[in-house]
Formats: sequence, structure tokens, C-alpha cells
Amino acid sequence: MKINKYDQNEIKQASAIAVWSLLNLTFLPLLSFIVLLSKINKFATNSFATYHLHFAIKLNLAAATALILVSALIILFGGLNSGMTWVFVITYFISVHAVFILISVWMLVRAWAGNKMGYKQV
Amino acid sequence: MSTLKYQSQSVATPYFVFALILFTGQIIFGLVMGLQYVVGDFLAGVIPFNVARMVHTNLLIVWLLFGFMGAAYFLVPEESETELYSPKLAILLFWVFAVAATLTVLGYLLVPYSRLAEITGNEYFPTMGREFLEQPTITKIGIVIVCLGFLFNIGMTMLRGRKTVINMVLITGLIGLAVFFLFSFYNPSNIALDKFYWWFVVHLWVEGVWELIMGAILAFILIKITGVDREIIEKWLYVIVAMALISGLLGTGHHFFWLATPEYWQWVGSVFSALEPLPFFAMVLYAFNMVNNRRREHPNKAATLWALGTAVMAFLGAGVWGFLHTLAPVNFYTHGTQITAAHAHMAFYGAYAMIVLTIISYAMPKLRGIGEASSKKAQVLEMWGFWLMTVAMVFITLFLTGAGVLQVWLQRLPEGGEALSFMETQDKLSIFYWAREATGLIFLIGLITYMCNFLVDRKAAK
Repeated sequence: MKINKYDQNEIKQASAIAVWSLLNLTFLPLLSFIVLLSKINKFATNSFATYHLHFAIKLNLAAATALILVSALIILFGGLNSGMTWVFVITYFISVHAVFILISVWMLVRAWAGNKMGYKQV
Repeated sequence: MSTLKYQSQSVATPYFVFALILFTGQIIFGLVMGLQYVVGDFLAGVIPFNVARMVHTNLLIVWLLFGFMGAAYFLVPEESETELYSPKLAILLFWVFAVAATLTVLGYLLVPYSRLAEITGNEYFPTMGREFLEQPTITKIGIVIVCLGFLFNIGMTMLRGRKTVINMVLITGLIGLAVFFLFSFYNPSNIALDKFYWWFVVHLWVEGVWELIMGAILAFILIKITGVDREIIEKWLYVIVAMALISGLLGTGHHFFWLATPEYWQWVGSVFSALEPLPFFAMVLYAFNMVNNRRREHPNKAATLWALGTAVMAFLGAGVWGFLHTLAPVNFYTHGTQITAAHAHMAFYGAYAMIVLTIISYAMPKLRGIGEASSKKAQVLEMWGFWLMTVAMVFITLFLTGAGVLQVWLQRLPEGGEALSFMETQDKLSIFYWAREATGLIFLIGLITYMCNFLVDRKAAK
């Protein structure tokens, strides 16, 4: 039988963080990230929620870098008036964005179950 | 000793075997056609491009129908906790459908399409000549008869057994499949009207009722491999079905943008299509959640991989790549380009080919008398097949997306007579087509690897 190390309140907090992370990558970009940042120092240092908050912030920063910065660099070096620039930017953006959404979904599922990231059950 | 819970489930075997044979045919014709994109004369005298395309798409539809029928014959007795109403009818219908499908494909390949129309008496009840619905009228009537017999058999089994949510969702999807196919018999001479109703078959199948069939099969597999409570999975299934129908039915509007229909369809189609990724997103969430909360370690790891893969690839192919070109202002430029082909490839593979391969992966060891799962060696081969086919399909989609974006850039965006013609544009896309062909070959290698997994346990199979 699976036994969670964390109580319901901690799981609820971590799940909310995971939802904000997912929202930042989908329907509410930036605004959701501000919500995530506002939660820093709101939980105990080694708590389950802090673990998920740190992971969420790192994930969303990585997503911002990969999606905005790299896309901007491709456009900068490729030029706005080249068809191939748009081939790379559009294909790259959709694929990488989808990967970050999938990671965030997994994060939500792990938070719901009282698990840290990875695959193994507690 | 048999490892089946109900002996009549064994009628699923010929359906699955024939589905896999047709799948192989589909891939071979896809490769032939893919090469014809860049080497126009390749086999042109023997298999013209239009014929290769027709066989490629028709084989896809037919093998998926065989797969869905096999899945229903396997799943329904177990869910209903009773033997199938008539195994003999199931076998008879298999042969009727298999012979009709084979003759139709041979007809496509051996005689010119217009001659096939003449031979089959299309003039008396014209339904031929439309994309994906090219089958002669007599074959369409055969499909209806097979579907009616199949629904009768499945329905009677459900009526005399346990009624579960999975069974109800499955039969709703299957009835919808049969009902919407009837629009293929309506063939108005006005081409806009014809296209309007044509989408009632094509869209309401793949973005409507087929999603119900997919959801039901996925739910059945997840219950079996994870041991998670049926009630939890059923609640998810309700949510997915509701989302699929709410978004999918009015989402048909994205096909009405440029069909001489009123302008409001651009709003209706855009808004509801934007919601269409939601059921697929929910499927990812639910599949991940069930596997994460599994209560047992099922020995069939390959089936678990297929189930998770289906959810992810369906989300990417149907959800993400569908959304990419579904809004009217974007679709104004992209409709009918290679972006559509990219979406179609990943969506059909991710949502429907993979769900059929998932149930085959789960059911085949039982149907073959091997047990709960194939041997470790067979599963390793199967998983290699999974990864080779799936990664190849991701790259096929990426290359077609690239081709589509460039096509829009060269052919659709320029104004003032600067746009290239369709054929000039195709020449410029050849690098993408070569890359697609190469990844198509890897897909074929993956398929062969997958097929080889059935040979490993042949001694253990009874």
C-alpha cells in the first residue's frame, strides 16, 4: 500500500503551485509566474510545497529561456524576411512548448499523489 | 490452458491480425507516395500518385475499423461479464469485411478508378470520387451491413450482461461511427454542400465519436494495468467524453471557414476548435495520474508504455498540432498545406493507431495463450518498435510542419503576383520531403521490429 509522507495541507499547497506552473505555460503566462514568485518564503524551508515551488520556478525560467530567448535569437540571426527562419522558429517553439507543458502535467500529477519529481512511487 | 476470461474474446484475434497486415500495407503505400513527392516517376505507371494516396488513406481507415472491432470483441465480454452474444456472427462479419476490403483495394490497384466506378454501378447510386470516401457504393453498403451486425452483436452482449460506463461510452462511440458514416451516401451536386456533409463523416468521426471509442479503450486498459478503482477512472471518462463532445461537435465549424458558409462559422469554428485540445489534455493528465497511482506492477510493461504514449502523442498530434492551424485568421493561410498533413499524421498515429496498438499489446498475450504478458525479450522488441515508430512519427510531423510553414511563406503570403505556384513551391520543399521519406523508412523498421515481437513467443503460444 502506498503511504504518503506529507499531510493533506502540504499536498494541497504543492498541487496549487503545480497548477500555477501549468497555467503559466498555457492560459495565463507571466501573471501566473508572478503568483509563483509571491509564494517564495511562504512555506517552511524543507517542506513539500517549497520543493515543488523551487521546481516550478526553475522549470518556468527554463521555459522562458528556451521559448523566448532562443526563439528571439533564431529570429535575430535568421532575419525576419527569411522563410527558413519561420520554419525553425515555429517548429521549435511548438515542440519545446509542448515538452514543457508535459513536464508540468507530470509535476501536477506527482504533487497530487504526494510525490517529488521522478517516476517511482513513495 | 487458456488465459482468456471469456472464450468468445478469441474472435478478436483475426481482427487484430488483419488490422496489422493492413497497417503494414498502409505504411508501404505511404513510402511509395512519399518517394513520388520527390521522384515523380517512381512506379508512376504501376501505382499513380492518386492511387497510392487513396490506398494509403483507405487502408488507414479500414485497419482502424478492424482494430476498433477487435477491441470491442475483446473488451465487451470482459466488461459485461458474459460471453459474446454470437461469436459465429463475429467471425462471419470478419470474413465479409476482410473480403470486401481486399477486393476494394485490389480494385483501386488493378483497374482505373473510373472503370471501377463503372464496374460497381456507381452511376445508379453515385457516392464515389470523394477524398477518404472513395470506396465503391457497394463496399459502402457492405460496411453498413458489417457495422449493423457488429453493433447488434456487441449491443446484445451488453444488454444481457453488466452495464459499465466503459461499455456505454464505447457503444455510444460505435453507434456514432455507424450513424455518421451514413452521410457518405449523401452526395449533392453542389460542391460546397457536398463538402459540408462530407465533414459530417470525416470530422465527426475523428474529432467526435472516435474520441469516445479511444477514451473507452484507454479507460479499460488503465483499469487493467494500474489496478486503480474503476470509479475514479469512470469519473475521468465522463469529463473527457463531455469535453470531446462539447468541443468536437461545434468544432466542425473549422472546416466551414471557406465553404461559402455564413461568416459566423469563423467565430464558432475558432472558439470551439480552440477548446478541442482539452479532452486530449485531460487524457494525458488522467493517464499520467492513473499510472502514477498504480496499485499493481503489471507484468505487461509494453502495454503500459503504449497507453501512456497514446495519451501523450494524441495530445501533441490532435491537440497541439490541431490548435496550431485551427483559428480562422491562421487557417486562412494554412488550410490544405503540409501543416494539415503534419497534423493528420501525428493525430491519426497518436490517437487512433496507438490506441489500437495499445489494446493489441494488452490482449495479444492472452489471446495467444501466453498469459498476462509476453516474455521479457518479446516486450523489449515491442518497446523498441514503439520508440522507433513514435520517434519517427515525431520527425515526420516536424519535417511536414517545416514544409508547411515554408509553403505558406512561398505560396500563400506573398501578394501582388509574387507568390509561387503550387508546383514551383513543391520543388522548393523537396529537402523536407526527402527527410520525411528517410524517417518514414525508420518508421517501417520500427513496424518490422514491432511485428517481430510476435515471433519470439511463438513456441509458448497455443
